[in-house]
Amino acid sequence: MAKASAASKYSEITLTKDRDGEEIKVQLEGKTVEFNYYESIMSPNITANMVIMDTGYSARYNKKYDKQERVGSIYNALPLTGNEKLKFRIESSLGELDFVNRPLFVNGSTSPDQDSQREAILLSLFSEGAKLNSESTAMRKYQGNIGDSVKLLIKQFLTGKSESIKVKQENIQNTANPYSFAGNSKSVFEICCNLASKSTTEKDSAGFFFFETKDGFQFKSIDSLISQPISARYFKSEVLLESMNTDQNDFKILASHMRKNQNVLNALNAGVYFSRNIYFNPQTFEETEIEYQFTDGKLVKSLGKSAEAPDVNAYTKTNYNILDIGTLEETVKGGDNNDPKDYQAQAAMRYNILFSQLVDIQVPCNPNLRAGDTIDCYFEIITQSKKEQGYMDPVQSGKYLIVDLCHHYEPTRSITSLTLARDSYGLYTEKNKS
Amino acid sequence: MKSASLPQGFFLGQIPPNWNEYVRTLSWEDAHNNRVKVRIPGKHSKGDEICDKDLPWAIVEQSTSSGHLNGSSVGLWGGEWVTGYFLDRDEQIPVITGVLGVNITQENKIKKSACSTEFKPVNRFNSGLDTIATQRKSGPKPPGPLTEIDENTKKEVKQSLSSPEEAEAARLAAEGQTGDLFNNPNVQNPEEAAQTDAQRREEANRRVAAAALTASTQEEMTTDAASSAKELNQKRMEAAQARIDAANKLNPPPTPQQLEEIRNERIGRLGLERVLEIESGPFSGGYK
Repeated sequence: MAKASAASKYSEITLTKDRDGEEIKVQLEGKTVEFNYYESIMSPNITANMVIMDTGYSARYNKKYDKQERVGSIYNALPLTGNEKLKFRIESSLGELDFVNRPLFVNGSTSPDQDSQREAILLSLFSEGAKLNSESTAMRKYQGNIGDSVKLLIKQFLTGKSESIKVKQENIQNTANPYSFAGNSKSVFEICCNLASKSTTEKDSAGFFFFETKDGFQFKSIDSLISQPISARYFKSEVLLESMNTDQNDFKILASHMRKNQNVLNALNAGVYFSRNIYFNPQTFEETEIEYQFTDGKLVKSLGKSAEAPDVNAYTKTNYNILDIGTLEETVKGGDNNDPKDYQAQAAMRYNILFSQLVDIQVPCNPNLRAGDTIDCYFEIITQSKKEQGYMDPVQSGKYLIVDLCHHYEPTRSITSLTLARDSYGLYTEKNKS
Repeated sequence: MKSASLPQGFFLGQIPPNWNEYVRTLSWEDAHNNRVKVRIPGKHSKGDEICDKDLPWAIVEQSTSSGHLNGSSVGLWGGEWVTGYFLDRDEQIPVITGVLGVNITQENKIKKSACSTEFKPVNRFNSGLDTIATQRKSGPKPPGPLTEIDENTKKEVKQSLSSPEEAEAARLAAEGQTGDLFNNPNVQNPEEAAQTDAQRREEANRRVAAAALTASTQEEMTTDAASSAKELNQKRMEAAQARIDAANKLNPPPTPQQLEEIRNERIGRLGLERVLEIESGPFSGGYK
């Protein structure tokens, strides 16, 4: 067994509740039977859930409920009413998951299994950003580079409201295109996720993601994510290396499942390969039609050697747009505000091609991995030929992007489950060798 | 944000004062779609988080009667509450489809807003808007008449008339109305009257447009329009006088002898006392 798969240590796991002005702390070491931590490039906030087994010696009842102030389980004695803070630090052989200074909050709890001596409690958790997002209402007008608008929104509604939320400047990437928009009373996450799909980079394809990892909020282009250096290299083999001292077993794919490998009809319906784009200019009453094809070469970077596209002879989707001509300018003058010709069809292609292959894998727990990281995966070739010539499959193996991530901790083992995405096939990238 | 009362993508909003292309004396060359800014409750702040100048320009949708054949002003000036929808899914490009009826009571209404109207009622006559004839009965009296006939002209016309009936007929003729059209050969042909009216309107439109293009401020435009209206009134009265003269030529006024006969006939019919009373009245004219 790999060291990284062994049980992890909860060096701190404390639930804190503000009860009538008094801070009640409950240590959950020894009570936690399962902990799952989630990140996703499709989610603007971190979530987690945990299972606690409580035998009724965790907290004293509130005097207003129980005059004797007896001790009981946290479910009723604390009691769990939501919004409690959970600070935790979980150490495993490859690293630690540290949320002591950035606690998660209890969203809700259930007690699915109760008997007279003990009860199981299931807690669902969210990061503080999610709560602040719900309280945010963006009213004002934002203009200029989209990256700057995202920074401003984060400062205005997240980092400006809580000291525990930190954002690294380098994690918010500037875009090539400026965009003026009104907040329209939307929440900060809603706006940032929406802006991501309208963002372009100077040389790369359009399409960004706004998401949260243990490093904080990130606003990055797809191409910058897939072109970053790999975080780890994993291999799949039926063979377990003999020595327990080698860390090679820590980077072994324990299980894998190819969830998706292309869906041509869905891609055609989404206009991934060939689309017609109609633009109407309300100032000049000019109607423009542009056909956009995958073969135009707008896919600048890819994870593998080449992205495969079926032979498509006609457009399969029509996108219709009304241009925004100076809608938010002070005078009526002004050109088109973030011309959709520059990003719309290209972003649709980029997002869809990225998710053309999806693989679920399980690996020994690696808390250093984050959603949005890239890893190399080597899958074993299935061949009747000799494997001495190379045991890796040259098509399926290569660089993958982590879309979803779950660090799973149990009393006896720790694993990381990943959903990986890939836009192309082949071991090495042509345009972006890492 | 979903609206609880309006269908998704629709809105109810208020137009702030000072934000339409007309109030800027049509000086914006890029102006299009008769746009006005709009503040939408639930989307835009009541306070100054988003100022009027940062609000989106809303395209104003007009009825088919504003097609190429006609064309007309949208009539939106500032302060109106309007309904509409968004052209895009992100709800950034609003389109106004209609206006809620304007309440003409002027008390406690703001004339202009510093940064936000705060959704308060806005005075109808904001942003330098002056009254037009149809608005005279409401609101504060404008500083000067725009289209009304001046007192001198009225006096001159009155002196030239011989009886209340003739005065009425002349007034109708001057205004291009048909009056007793089908029986009286002296009244102007309705087609000609309509033509004259159309020409007059065209001339007025041309002058107002010319004034609007050349005037650099609202005051100049208003002054130009007022003087233009005075000239038009003068012409109208001259035309009326010409028509009356023509009518007199065809149907000359009675001689003193005929007048005496008419008076005697009246005395016989109404009595001397009543005739004297009529003769001392303001409209005695030639009967005196």
